[in-house]
Amino acid sequence: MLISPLGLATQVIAHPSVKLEQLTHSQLRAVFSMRQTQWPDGNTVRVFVLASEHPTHQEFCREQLRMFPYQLDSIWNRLSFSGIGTRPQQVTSEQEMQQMIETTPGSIGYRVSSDEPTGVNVIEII
Amino acid sequence: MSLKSFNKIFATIMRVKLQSTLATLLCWSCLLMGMSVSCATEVQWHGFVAQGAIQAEKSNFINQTGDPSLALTEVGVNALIQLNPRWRVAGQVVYLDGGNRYPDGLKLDYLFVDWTLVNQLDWQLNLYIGRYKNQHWIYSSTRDVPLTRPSIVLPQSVYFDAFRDIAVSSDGLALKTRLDNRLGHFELNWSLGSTPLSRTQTKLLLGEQVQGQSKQKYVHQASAFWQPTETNWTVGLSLLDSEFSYYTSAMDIMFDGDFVVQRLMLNAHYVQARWQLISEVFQERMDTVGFFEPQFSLQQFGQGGYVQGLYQLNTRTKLQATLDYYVVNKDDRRGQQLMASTGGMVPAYFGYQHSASVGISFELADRLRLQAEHHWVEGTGRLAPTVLPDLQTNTHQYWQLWALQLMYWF
Repeated sequence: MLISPLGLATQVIAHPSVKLEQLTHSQLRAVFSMRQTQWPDGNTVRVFVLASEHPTHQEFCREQLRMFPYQLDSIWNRLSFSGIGTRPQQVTSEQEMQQMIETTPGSIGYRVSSDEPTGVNVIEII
Repeated sequence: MSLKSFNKIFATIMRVKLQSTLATLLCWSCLLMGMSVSCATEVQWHGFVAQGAIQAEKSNFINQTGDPSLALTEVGVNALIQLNPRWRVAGQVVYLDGGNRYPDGLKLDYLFVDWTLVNQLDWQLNLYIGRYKNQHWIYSSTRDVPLTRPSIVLPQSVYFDAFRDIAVSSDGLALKTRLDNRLGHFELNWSLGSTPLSRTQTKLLLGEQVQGQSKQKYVHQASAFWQPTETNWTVGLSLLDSEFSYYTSAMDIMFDGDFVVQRLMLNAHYVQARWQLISEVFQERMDTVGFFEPQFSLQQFGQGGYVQGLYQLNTRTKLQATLDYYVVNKDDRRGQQLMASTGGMVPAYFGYQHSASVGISFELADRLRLQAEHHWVEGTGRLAPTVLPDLQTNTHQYWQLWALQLMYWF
């Protein structure tokens, strides 16, 4: 099992056009490992991530994906250099992540857990 | 000129040439599909350039002299065009120079149409048409991409370099499916195709003396990977069935021949925060009919595999250690029968090849890595050519290999 050393809690956020309330951990892994390219309504999935060494990204990997960050990097490299997938779009800060998710239809990302109302859809991971 | 300057100039030249070639190929693919590139919604470009130095004294692994060599060049550029959520076109062109390890030059690594047949949250199915990558072994799909390999030279038991061009990609059809259920995550792959073989590749596999041409009739593969729920294990199984033919030329000293290769392989991968353990083991059946003389017939079973440990020392440094084992014939593990059957002409150490290696890699900067390793090897069973071996150069039972490589990717 993966144990968080950081003490952060993260939540998954998506553009309001993504009409999902819940995803399982394995479904979320499929999305963030860039294997899931379409939402159930047919729209394109657009994935945003922070840099691998960012504490929020590391905590998101452990808590929500139940993977180590280097595993994601490895999967993205394998997909993008064998032609069967792409890399996610990397943002430089949590503020940019929030902004991109609010303005990009079909997008999904994550943030440190917050109860503040914002223009994103918070997806529960079960 | 310093190695870094050489890298920079070489990378620039190759990137321009490769991007132009690949863009042309991708445009033709789109046009053949009745679509124009302008209908693409998204294009991604990636590439890599790597240059190193390598030496394998007392063997022909890199060259005939055993001297240090710069024949460790790998350059590639790829593009993926997302035409719509269900259709993609992807291609990669590489330039490789590995000395005697594999044929050098510019190669079309892959170029295929990717059709997503099913795209549900718990189930996905894709069909690939064209030159597709081999997705059946742990490193098979990106063995020619230096940044994805844990070592510069992969374990030769499984990733025999002389077979690189044949094993890395094939022309035909492939299916890949992903399933998630309460038992865990499953990936299933199937493919059927063949790889065109050049005259250089024929000589590399069979021997310098042959004058004819070989052809791969087909390669049929299937594999399954399973990661049980809430575990850090992934285990897998892969199957391969392939047939080759050799056609003599007018001046040939050999005869027409057929070769059948069948492989059953098991793999396991365990991950922890700072370390990983990876292993693949196989048994391979090889049938030879003809070639040496018209009535010749031989069936033998080879065995091999490796265990590899990776340890993340700190954020920038990674260590690796590997044990690799291979025997040409499982009933002749020390090659004594081989030596006896050739009247002592072929030494016993051509019947196997075992090695131990250690390596280190440093992330010098973002997307810039320096990698170094050393191998201690006993035997020459995985030195090309294998059918008519190089008895003049490979005169030592024990030999060593070191390599150093600088790589950049984008």
